[in-house]
Amino acid sequence: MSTEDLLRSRGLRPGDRVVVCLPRGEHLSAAVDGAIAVGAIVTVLPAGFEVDEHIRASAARIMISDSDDAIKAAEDSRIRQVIGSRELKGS
Amino acid sequence: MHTRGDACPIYPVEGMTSHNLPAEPNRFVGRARDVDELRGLLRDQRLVTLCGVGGIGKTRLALRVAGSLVGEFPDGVWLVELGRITSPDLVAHEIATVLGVREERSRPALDGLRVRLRGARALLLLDNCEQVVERCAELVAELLAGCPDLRILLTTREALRIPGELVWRVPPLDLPDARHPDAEAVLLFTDRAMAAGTRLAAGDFDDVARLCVALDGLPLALELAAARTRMLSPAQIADRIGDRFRLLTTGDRTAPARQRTLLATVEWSHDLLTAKERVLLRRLSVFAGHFDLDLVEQVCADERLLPREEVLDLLGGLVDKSLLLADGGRYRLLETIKEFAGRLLRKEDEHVWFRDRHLQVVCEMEERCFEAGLAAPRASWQERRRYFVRSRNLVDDCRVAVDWAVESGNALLGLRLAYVASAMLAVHGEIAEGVDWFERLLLLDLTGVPPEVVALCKGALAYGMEARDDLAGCERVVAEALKEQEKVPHSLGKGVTLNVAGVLLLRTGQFDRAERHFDEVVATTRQHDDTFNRVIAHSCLAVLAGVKGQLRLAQRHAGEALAVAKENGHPWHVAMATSQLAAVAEWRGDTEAAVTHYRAAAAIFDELDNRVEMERCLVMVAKVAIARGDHVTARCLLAECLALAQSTGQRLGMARVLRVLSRLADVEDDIQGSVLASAAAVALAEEMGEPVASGRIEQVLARARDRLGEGRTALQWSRGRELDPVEIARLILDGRREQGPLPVPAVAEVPHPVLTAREQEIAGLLTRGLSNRAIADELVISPATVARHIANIMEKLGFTSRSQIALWAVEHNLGSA
Repeated sequence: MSTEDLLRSRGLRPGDRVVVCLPRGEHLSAAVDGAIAVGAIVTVLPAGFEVDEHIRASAARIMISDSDDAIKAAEDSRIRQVIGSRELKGS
Repeated sequence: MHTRGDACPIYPVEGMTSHNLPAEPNRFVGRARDVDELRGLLRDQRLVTLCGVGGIGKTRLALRVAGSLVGEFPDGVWLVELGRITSPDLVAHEIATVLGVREERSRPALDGLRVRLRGARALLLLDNCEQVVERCAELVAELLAGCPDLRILLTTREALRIPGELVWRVPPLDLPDARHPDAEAVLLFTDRAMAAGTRLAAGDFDDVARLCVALDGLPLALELAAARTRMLSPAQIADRIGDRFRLLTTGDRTAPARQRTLLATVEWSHDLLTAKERVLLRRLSVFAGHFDLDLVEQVCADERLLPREEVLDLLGGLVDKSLLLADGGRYRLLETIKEFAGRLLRKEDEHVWFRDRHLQVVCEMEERCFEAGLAAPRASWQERRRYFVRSRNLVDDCRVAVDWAVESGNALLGLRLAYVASAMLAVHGEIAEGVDWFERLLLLDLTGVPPEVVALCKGALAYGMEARDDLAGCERVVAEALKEQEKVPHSLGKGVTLNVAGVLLLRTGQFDRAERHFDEVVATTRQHDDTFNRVIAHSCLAVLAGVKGQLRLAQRHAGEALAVAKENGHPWHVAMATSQLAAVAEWRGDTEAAVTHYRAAAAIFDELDNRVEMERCLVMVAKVAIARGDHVTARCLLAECLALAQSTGQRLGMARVLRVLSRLADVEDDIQGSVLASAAAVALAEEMGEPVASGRIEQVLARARDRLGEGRTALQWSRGRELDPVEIARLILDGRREQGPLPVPAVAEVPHPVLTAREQEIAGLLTRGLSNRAIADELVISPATVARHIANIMEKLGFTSRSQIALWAVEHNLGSA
């Protein structure tokens, strides 16, 4: 399944917000491209920086990340689903 | 094609769709997009976990989603509330109870669930899993692996962390901002405020928005705040709760912000209660799940702080403040509130006292139910019924009371409670839980417990052990019980022990001793007007007379059992005695009477919702119908029995159906179907460790060998062991006979010396359709070794199934005689 199809199957719709918090690399570009292909508004947060406040304040429904700090921050946010980079395939 | 009755549907239609979801207590506000998304996810995903802190609205959202999916799951949408359960051992049991799956011998409930859900397109909603999350993770993984069309939605504070789980984090409600003044949080607050009778003024809305933001959109916090709007304006509430957050001293400072927000709101709401309401709220935390006024009055009231006559009003006050839920005359606390109230009970040092009181009250209530529902020698079912209902409603409280008895070392009250509560459960076939109670309680220090109470409980434990086929354990415990009970006068409990002792003699083949024993029990129970135990003694005597071929005597005892059962008045007894009478009629060759009695018994079991026994009786009717050549009736009945066995998860029941279906196929000249059904029945019985009567099977196989030849018969037998038993049953029910040559798998021309001597031996045994265990027993090796040999044979010969090996072995003359 492409990243686009994966995100769609998880309920992402055009105009939704997605947070991507991944280190630079193929996963990052696959995630961003997939979300844009669905028509989502993407916020890229550089992994490793202080992302907590951004994540808590975000109106995103989905976050793509493997970072423990980001996932912890998502618990106090409005993010419904966290997708790990392992789930991104066929990019 | 065989004649099939047009009048009867082959598979009983089970309602349209079914569910056990409660009606929504008030309006569901917001979350439309989330409900929609979750519905979509449940089409693709088999396991969706709704995660989030207490009070965030997981349960309400899950119920909403599940409710909207009722039409899409033909086999039902089933809510299992796990918040009441603290013991991981009970999780499978709870699911089984909701689905109507009954205990089968000592088998784990999971086995029955697999039978029930194997082909079912159903959605299970497991609510509040956090207390038993590890057990849930194991069970869910096993259920999903064994039941391909099953979907599971669950709510928990902590994810299961198993492969295939989609974790969906439940967020708070949307908050208002300048562009969205009517956000979800505002809508919920105003809806609940209106329900509380408050008219919010236009000028209040800025304050409402401020309050919603302060409460972080947490639904429970919003509900608690809205319930106070009759006394306080939104502005006042917002100010006061704001102070709270600064002053919050209890709870974990490192806990997530929304958890602290919620706790602060609950504390605030609690502190606004009157002194008496506060006392009542914390004491309500001792109850397991739902409770009624009577129970609250008996457990929570006292002279000093909480007069009994005020309890009803105080309960109403707590409901008004949204701290307590009222639900059809009964009440319950949300998990979050119950935890909070439980902490207060400990803080006020009332914990031990009220747990003791709860144990005492529940014990006495159950004792009254037992006396009037079960022990009374003569009473109609109308009179007895309400005590069984009452006792059923107390099961959750019995569990926590027994747990407390174990924890606090109160062996006397614990045993008294376990004795009566387990007896009420046992009448309806629930044995396992009582055994567990006795085993834990009897390990306590028993010095203060009168020996006759211990003996009563040992007798009841022995009853459970016998029902679970633990004959050695039963014999030991029965001896201990009788040693003490010999000294005391007759009682219902002593009668139970005596009957268990007799059944042990019967089951171990000591027929003469058993007969003398039961004759004595009949005399004693008659003398002491113990109709309960006299029914059982007469029934056992009828069986004994039948075994000895004394059919007239058997008839007399069965008739006597029925007469006493009617006098006693419990329909379960009447049904058991009636089915005994039917069996005797069958032995005597009076098929007319047998059918009448079996049908009568089945009707009563149906009324009692005992579908296991109902199935057993109807299978017998089908068997008689076949003997009389009435295949249409037999088909109808067997289809019904198959559905009953499946829905109750009974593999032995399914084996019974298949045995009779084998007869049907046989008389309809479908010898291949007959072999298939017999093989499937034997495989099921072996799986359950049941002995297999081989007489009729040998006849079927002999005829099959004549007609089909050795190889095809062996192949068919092996297929019967491997195919899904339900598929085989449907094949015969539909009259879809397999015509022409069997689909024989290609058998490669392999010279068999490539197999070792042991492998050849095992290949030979496979032609007899033996299971791995049976082969292991025959060769005195372990089943694991057998499995390894079989894997090697498949590898060497390039086969994929045991049937191929069997056929190959027959063709190479390896079949052992």
